[in-house]
Amino acid sequence: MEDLHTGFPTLEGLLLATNGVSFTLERGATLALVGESGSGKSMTCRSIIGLVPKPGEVIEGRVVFNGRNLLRLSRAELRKVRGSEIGMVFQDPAASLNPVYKVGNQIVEVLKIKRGMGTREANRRAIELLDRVGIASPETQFHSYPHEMSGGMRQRAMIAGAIATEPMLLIADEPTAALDVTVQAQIMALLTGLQQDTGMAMILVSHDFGVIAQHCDHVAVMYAGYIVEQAPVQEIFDHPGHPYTQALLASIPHLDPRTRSDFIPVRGQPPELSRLPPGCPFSPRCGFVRDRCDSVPMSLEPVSPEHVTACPFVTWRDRGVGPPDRQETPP
Amino acid sequence: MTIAREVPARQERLLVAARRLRRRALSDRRWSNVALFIGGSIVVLVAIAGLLAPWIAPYPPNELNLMETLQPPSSDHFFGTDELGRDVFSRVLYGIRLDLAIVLVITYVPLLVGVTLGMLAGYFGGWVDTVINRAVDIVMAFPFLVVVIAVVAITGPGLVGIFIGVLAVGWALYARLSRGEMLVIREQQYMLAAKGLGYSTARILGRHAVPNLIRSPLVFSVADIVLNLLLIAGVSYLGLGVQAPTAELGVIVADGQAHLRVGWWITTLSGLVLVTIGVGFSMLGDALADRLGEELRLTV
Repeated sequence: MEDLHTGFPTLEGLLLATNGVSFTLERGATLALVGESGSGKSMTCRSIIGLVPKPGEVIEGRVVFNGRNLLRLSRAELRKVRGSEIGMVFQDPAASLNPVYKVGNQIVEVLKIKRGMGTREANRRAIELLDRVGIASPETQFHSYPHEMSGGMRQRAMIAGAIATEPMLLIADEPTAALDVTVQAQIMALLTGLQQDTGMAMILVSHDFGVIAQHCDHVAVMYAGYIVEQAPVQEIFDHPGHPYTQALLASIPHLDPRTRSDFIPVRGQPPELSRLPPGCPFSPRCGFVRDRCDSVPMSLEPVSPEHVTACPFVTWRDRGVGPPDRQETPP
Repeated sequence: MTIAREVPARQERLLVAARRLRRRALSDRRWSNVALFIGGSIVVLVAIAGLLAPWIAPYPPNELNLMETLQPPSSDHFFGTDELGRDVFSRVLYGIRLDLAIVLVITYVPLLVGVTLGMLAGYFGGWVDTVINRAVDIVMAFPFLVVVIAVVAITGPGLVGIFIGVLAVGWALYARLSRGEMLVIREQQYMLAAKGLGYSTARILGRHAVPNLIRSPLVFSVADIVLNLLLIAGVSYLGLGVQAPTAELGVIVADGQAHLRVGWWITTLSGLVLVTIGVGFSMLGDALADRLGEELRLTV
């Protein structure tokens, strides 16, 4: 049984890109991070393996992975963790592979460095991996350069590299963002399949509630650097508590003809992190804003056994403060 | 009616335009190929001549033969002989050998230093960047030849002065070039991915950044070779570089000058060889630069 606790505010300049984010992830489980652009999802991921871009740094908190606080590790120790115990898949597979090397050799490089394999063994294993991630004729594709591959194949190759070392945790930062829809589904199925085979935990950043519903166990909804709600996936869909979660769910377009009419976009723009309103950062856009909203503490309170939310007006059992239901919206 | 007439006319115009564009593209391409071929051939020939000079030269470069001074070109002496009866062709071959060796050193040692420094500046930024960049500014503010001559004035005539002078100046342009490339590469996601895989900084820079930024310094280095070749020959011609009687193209040109009226071949033929080598490297450099541009267009 592994534990991953994170809780850290990050300082970027004067902005807190992540503000008291904490969650626990168990071996084999998948956590989804959801939120609008700039809500701190990617920063959360990058903080875990210490890849916060330059001016920023993690100023507080702990990331306990396998009993070790990753934020206390020396650079050299952290490098050992990266790539071998924690793998990462990035958004844009076209840009994540080095254009001057053959795809196979990039996987071989990981194996040689992180697993100390010899050339022949690493070559053999790389071909196995390419095969495992569903690349047809892996022996041939081993010798392809990234620009000779399609987006889906590149992402598969990236995944092959990330799982080459059998990491215990895979961080997938919008792995399907740059791909078209059918390929997205294939990649997600691949990730889930790999997860079942290897028992690795996964943190999945996504905008796509469809993907989340199918592939994740827990969901953490992020807004302006805060986790505003966290619950098992079924609970989020059935009983969204925080108004922001409700708004996100209401903003999904439906194809069902009976409900075809309305998806409700979330009103307004995400706040600038440098000028957060006092109290709840979502209050300026919230449909249920009350007077006290500018002084509420952003602390996650339980509303049911596994469900926590930052909105104090969502109470135990009485979940929801009156969702912006389709029926209630003016025509 | 009018429409029916217009459509074929428009198609015809389009076809003509397409043909014209294609012709232009082909002729550009062809010229680039010709330049690559001619430049490449000259460079290869010169390189072979230089490498094999001791074996293919018909005479030792400094062997005097006072019986045969100032002989015009003949089947015995392709480029004739000079005032001491030395075979000019042999001397030119040895001159090529020496010049190429020097030029390679004074081009590629600065390239290594410059690319390394520029890469570090671009990657780390901050004070590293500031220090390196200011150094580049200072060095580039001096006229190249003046620095070299100043150094030679301190060290005295000879190769040592040239080496020091060129090394002190030559790295700056490479540093600036590769710093610019590094600034772009640093933001590429594959650099982040490499970090995410836990590679060391040395590996990230050496294995993943260098192959991506080395192209334009390499292309520039071919043009730089021409400049350095002329620099060596020029400085030696002025008597500040390689010293007579050592066979070196600039020295041979300078030696022959005194006898231009009785032995035109010494200066003329060795000078022509020098020009040919320069043109060869220039053409090769141009063609490579074209290729680089094309490759960039294709991949973007």
